[in-house]
Amino acid sequence: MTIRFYICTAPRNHVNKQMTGLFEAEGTLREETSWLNPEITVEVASKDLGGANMCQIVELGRYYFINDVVILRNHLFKLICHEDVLTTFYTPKAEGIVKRNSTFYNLYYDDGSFKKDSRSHVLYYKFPQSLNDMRYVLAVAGWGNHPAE
Amino acid sequence: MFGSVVISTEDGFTNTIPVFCDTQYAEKLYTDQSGRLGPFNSIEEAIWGLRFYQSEFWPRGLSNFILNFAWNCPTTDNEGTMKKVFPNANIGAFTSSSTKTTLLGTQFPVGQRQISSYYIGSYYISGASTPKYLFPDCGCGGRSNVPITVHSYTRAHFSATIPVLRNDAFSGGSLTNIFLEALGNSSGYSHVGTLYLEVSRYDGPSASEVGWFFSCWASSRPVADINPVSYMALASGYDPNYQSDGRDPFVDESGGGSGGLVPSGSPGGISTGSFDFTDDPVLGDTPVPDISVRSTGFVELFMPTGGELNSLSSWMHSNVEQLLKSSILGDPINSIISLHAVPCIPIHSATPSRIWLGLNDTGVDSLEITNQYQKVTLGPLQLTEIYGAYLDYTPHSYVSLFLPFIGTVGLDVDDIRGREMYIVYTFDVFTGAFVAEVIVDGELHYSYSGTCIYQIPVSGNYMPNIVSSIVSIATTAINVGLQTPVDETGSIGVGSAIVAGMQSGVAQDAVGAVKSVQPHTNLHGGSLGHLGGKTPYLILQTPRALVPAYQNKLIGYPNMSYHTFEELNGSGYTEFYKIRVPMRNGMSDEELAEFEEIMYNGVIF
Repeated sequence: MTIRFYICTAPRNHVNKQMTGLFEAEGTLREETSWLNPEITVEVASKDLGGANMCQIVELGRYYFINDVVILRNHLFKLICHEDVLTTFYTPKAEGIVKRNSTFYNLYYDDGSFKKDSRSHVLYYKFPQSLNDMRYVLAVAGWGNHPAE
Repeated sequence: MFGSVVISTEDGFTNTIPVFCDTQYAEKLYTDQSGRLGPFNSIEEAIWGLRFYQSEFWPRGLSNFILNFAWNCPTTDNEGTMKKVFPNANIGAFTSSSTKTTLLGTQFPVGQRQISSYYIGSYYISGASTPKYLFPDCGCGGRSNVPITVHSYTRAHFSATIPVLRNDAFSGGSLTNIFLEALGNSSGYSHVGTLYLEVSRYDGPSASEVGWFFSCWASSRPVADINPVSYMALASGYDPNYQSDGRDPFVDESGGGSGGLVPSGSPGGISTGSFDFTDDPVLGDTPVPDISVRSTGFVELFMPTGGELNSLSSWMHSNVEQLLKSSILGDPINSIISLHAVPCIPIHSATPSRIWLGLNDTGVDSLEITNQYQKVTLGPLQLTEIYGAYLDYTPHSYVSLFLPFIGTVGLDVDDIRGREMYIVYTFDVFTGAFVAEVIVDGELHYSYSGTCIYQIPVSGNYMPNIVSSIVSIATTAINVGLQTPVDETGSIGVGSAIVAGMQSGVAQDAVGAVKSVQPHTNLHGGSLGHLGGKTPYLILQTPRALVPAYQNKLIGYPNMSYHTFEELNGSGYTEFYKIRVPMRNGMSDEELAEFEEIMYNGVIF
């Protein structure tokens, strides 16, 4: 089967990885291998394989991280791979409820994202006015109408 | 730039203001400025925090409005004064392309100040050396006197208002009129803060918000010196209008619900019924009683001065002729119902009237109190958000309110955050009873009652009664402690507060309500309350947020909204609560499980 080799510098959890194609080679799957963790035998020049960290099995349509390389003999290598399901199965039509995001966020949603120092702020906000205007009040018995009036 | 704020005015103007500052932008600023002495290297850099404020973004045709700006800079370093937090803090304007004029200097006293010789509203056409004025005739532009009102000033927050009363349109050039430079490294502090500029339409006494601007500033210090706590790029991205998915969070468009957090139309959802989220407001303008002791004719109320009371006392006690008259006309002391002091100016007559004690003409004239009730309004005060995040609300933030003659009472911070708050005291100047109502956005939210009069003896056998009363009060108040609030500015003068409980039950309630918020000050009624503080104040206990650098990039911020993957392209770090993936290319169960697990653990779009 055809193996395409790539070099990729993006983090493994990047959804849209930018990959630089290196070369193609023919390879064979080891017995009792799985789609998720295949082991592939390829015969290539060692200098070509040096920079590759991802590959694609064209016939399977799947992309893989090259986790390890075992040298079987000169120019014959066993690639221990793990499938990059993000690159293989990414589709813009997928959808979901986003829990966290760098761009879209609602900071009023309390998910415990922001940790707190144990030393709280204690702030004072003074009202602009006071009850400092004191006045005497004299209450006296009234007569309804003052005798002098 | 990673977001925007849309401004719309009644004039039909709509503009989109880019929101520049996210963590990466702040980092860029830091990188550019790394190693330099000052935070900025040129005017353009100095006004970086207001770069959005250029002509292309200015809402043309906007009528009268106010500029209401504030900054928040929560930091663990704020143990000193504002100047310590912001060593080079200054607010000013540019008088030329390179000269800055101080408006408020490095100290920001709360209150209104007339600022002259300043250039709010000045701007520069490219290449010009002298400024033009945005509002040349308005008593605001140019160099006229303009009141700048500082609403609040704490170590971590500053808020002020500048009224702009003309509607001159602005065209061309860059508006470089306001700068806030608050960064410096002379004392080793490094800060990334947030500038919050609110533009409101200003029509007479009221103002309505028409938009917000946001920006932030960053430190010139190396990253290693930036306290992660003060690295508040977080709030810079806050946009109060922002809905993370552009949808009303209470309406599930796809579910077709009729409202509620979980719409009734959602398959399998929990019906929330038909609850109406609109309020039935309880207005705070509680009317005073329409009857009074004065209207009965049995009681006359006067508002004598100290001199008038001295004259009255002299007339009563040192006039031999009067003593003789008393045996005939009756002892005048019997006609005095009460003499006391109240903490307000009662509504009174314009001219003095003669004080008669029974049939005795005292010969003393005094202003007559024409209304037994008097309202005193204190405020407004606005408790603005510090973080623009859930940390500003319960259960993370707590607030209590000190009320003169009441003490400290607990409030729900969710009730008052970002809202205009008034306290209305309604005094009965005859009995000394009062009701203190807390009005939030025009609605009554809290109500307290107490007594406030300071009784003054008018006869010899009166004082023992007062002493006896105080001893009784002290006995019932043994559970109420004496606490003195700590206030470095000394602006809240309650240090001499005597703690007691005229009503021990109320005292216990108050203590329980505010036990988590300092200071634990309780002043309860009567003459004892006069020894305490007369200025109400809010006490906010809010967390010091730990927002490490690169949090946004590494773990994102909370979201909880629906998106397609297509919408999320380029949005950065993303974690999912739940996803739905169309099956394709013979995706196995194991592959689907791994795909979902990776999405839940966090990916980068």
